Amino acid sequence: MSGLTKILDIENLNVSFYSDSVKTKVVKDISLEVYDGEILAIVGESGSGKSVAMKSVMDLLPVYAKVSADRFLFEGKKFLEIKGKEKRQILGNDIAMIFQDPMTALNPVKKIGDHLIENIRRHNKMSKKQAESLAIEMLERVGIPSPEKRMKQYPHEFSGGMRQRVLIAMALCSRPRLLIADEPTTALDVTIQAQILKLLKNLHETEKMNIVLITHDLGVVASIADRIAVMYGGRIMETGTKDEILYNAQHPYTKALLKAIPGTENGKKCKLEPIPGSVPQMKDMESGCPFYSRCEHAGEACLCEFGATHDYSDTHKSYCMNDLKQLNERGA
Amino acid sequence: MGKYIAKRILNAIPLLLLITIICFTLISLAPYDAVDAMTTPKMSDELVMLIRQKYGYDKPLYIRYFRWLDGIVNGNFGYSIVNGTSIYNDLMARIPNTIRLVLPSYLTAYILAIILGLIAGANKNKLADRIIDGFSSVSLAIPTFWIALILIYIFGYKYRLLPILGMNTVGKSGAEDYLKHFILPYAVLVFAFLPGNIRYVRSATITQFSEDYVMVQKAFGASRTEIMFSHVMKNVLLPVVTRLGMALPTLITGAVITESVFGWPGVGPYFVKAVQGMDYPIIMVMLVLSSTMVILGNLLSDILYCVVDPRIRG
Amino acid sequence: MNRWKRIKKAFLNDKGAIVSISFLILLAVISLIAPILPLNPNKTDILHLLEAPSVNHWFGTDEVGRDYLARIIYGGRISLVVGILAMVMSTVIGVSVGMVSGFFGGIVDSVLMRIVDVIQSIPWLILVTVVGIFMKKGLLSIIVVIGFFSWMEIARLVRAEVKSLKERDYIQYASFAGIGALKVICRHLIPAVMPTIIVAASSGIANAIMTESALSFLGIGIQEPLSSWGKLLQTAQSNLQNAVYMAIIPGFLIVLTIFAFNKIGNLLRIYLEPRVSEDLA
Repeated sequence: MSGLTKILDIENLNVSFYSDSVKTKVVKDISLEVYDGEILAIVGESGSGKSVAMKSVMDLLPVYAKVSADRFLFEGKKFLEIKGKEKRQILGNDIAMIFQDPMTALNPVKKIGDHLIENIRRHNKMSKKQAESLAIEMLERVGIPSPEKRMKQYPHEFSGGMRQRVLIAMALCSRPRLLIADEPTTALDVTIQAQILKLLKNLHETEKMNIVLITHDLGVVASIADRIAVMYGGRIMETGTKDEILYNAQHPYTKALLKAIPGTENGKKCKLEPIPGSVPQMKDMESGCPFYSRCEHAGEACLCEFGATHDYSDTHKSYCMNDLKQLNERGA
Repeated sequence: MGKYIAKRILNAIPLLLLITIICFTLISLAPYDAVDAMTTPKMSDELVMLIRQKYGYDKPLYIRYFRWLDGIVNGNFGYSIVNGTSIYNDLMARIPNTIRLVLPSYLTAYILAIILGLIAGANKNKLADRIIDGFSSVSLAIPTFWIALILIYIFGYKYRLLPILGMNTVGKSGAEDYLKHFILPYAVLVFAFLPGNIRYVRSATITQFSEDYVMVQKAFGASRTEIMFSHVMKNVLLPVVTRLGMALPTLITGAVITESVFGWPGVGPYFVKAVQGMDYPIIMVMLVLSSTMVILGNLLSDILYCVVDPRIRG
Repeated sequence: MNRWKRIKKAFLNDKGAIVSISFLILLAVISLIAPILPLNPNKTDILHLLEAPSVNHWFGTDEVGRDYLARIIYGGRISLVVGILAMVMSTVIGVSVGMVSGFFGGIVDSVLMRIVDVIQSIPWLILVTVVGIFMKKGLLSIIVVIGFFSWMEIARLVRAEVKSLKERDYIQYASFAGIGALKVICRHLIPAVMPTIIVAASSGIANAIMTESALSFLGIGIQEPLSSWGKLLQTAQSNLQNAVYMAIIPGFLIVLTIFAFNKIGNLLRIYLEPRVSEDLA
């Protein structure tokens, strides 16, 4: 893997929210990279900081958020230092993002076509006519039937799945190197979910578009991701290829998470095991392991320190104070 | 859309009828009526009875209600108790004067409010917003008649620049004289209409800026200016334009206080005088008239909403 | 409890709020101790008519030589009393109507909300004067008239909130467990809508004071021998040329008072409204 180009390269990213002069660390020392040609999934429960981490890439955090990182490169550029106009030329052009709720993501009083044309002409010197035909082409590309007619309609005339397709089309217009998809299917019906995922996978292959997929749904991950980063309480707990995480998870949290998804394994029904307790408040876990209060193996060390690194392969890492090898052998 | 508007009109009718019933009940409950005003204690009981019969006061209440309603609809508003003049004629002479004053002031305030409100809302908590919002909180606390008094003192008494009473100087006419009379009440009214409207536009703008589609546009590299002019503004202006309908009653009763202070020959002083003189046929007509305007105004604003908003229009 | 601490902090951090509260406390104290102050609002002095503010008369004298400071203090008492009592009245009516309407729903709700529609479709100035002519002129009738016709907004707010609270599990459970309506309302609903009530009450006082002063200024509010700030401004209008301080001082006090109540109301709104809590994603 190390021979491949890194599209996105982040080391020790920290995001803190300030309110009433109280600082809350929401993302703590996370390191991530996206290689050319892959779909990286960031998995975690709601409140784990996965969305915040990616919004920091897009400059979408509220003013009371502070972002810092030891390294933050997008295609080799120091991304945190780029601001203003220069940044806007990259956003929506080289990186695009789509969001959880397609129902509110489009301006209700603007026609679909105008959304697309405006976005195309923002990043490309193009006549209105050219932009229009490109927009129609893109709508067709994402599977919207009779696109000419649809161009003149307003968002409320589209279903949720169709709107998500429109947003994907908007992102696609400038052929971005990286698409960040923030829970793109969570607000949709199950059957539509599968269609959208298939579309994303398809675009990933044909358009050479790298994708970061943020989700809480391991089922979604299983269907399209190449690599997975598991996040909890603002930290990354374990990263690895899809198979390494789904079939050879090492971290107690990942294992607990896997047990909590409904499904069948080798044809027989599995018992569903919820993770005891609930996601702790961000401010209650400054330095220790965020999973401390819910982890069955938690010890003294976990309370005050986070993350001895365990390497299992070039790609598979986990962060836990316990001696995981011993722990997992005992458990097996 | 047609169905929705029809439904709204059907809703407004019973509301209007209800208000006329309330009005009529209040008139009937009043301690004395129009006939009492026409008669004198010296008249014989028979004569009084005759007058009562002539004006239909011997009929049962509901018949009198329908007659009264019929009168209102046909422009027969009854007569002032105090000086016996036709209320319809009085109002017809005064309403145009009020509109001449209120319409330009309201439109000025409205346009200013849109500009200032958008600026404030787009720069929430920044300097521009603090100044504009500070201005509207302070001016919301200032009684219009007080501002009027201060302006009268400064421009009328201290520097003697402008006349302080009426619409024209007696014996003079012409645009210049009119404008000189017009400017002070106009300024006061603009000041009075401004803060509420600024607040409304500002909060609508802030709400729009917190919508998801703004974040999405940011993610697609749109600048703040682009987001403002190409997305937020239209969304803010839709409800703001429809609000214009609700200002309809302002055309008649929106300047009662200011007109009274400046002796502007509009509806205001007429109404205040009627209240002081307990001239309640006039008061009741005003009640019916102004509530009708409110209901029509709301209706108009609903219809405007249907016309301009694609979500309903479709 | 945490919420009240935050409010306290917010107030202490806001200079405008500190000034507002101090001003209102000062006003309240002066109004309360007015009778024991060596001031007589009714003593006329024909040798000193319309005298500008001086050492003897801090705020000058009025057209019949009465000490204007005393007039203003006693006028302020009336303005505040009208403001507070009218607010109490409109809050009680508004909360009761909104509570009943939201809690019982159905026909009761439709009828009450229709009434609110009707009353709200009459401009306030017209409404207040119409009812005013059926009452004997006096302090009480001003309070009743203002209080009786400014409850609709509170009723709407409370109704909306009660309607959404009713869907919450704990209220549904209470009804399911057979706890009486009155008990549910008193134990659960009133405490829950308290923030709304407090915010509405704060701006309610401001509105009532504004209404009273406008009516009195037009000569259809407070009547002689009583006086209020609005009434003082009415008198000031005829002496504007000779004694502008008679207009400036009471007007300025009205502005400060209304601004202070609005300021407090707005701050409370920010910190009491349920939806404004941390949105840490």
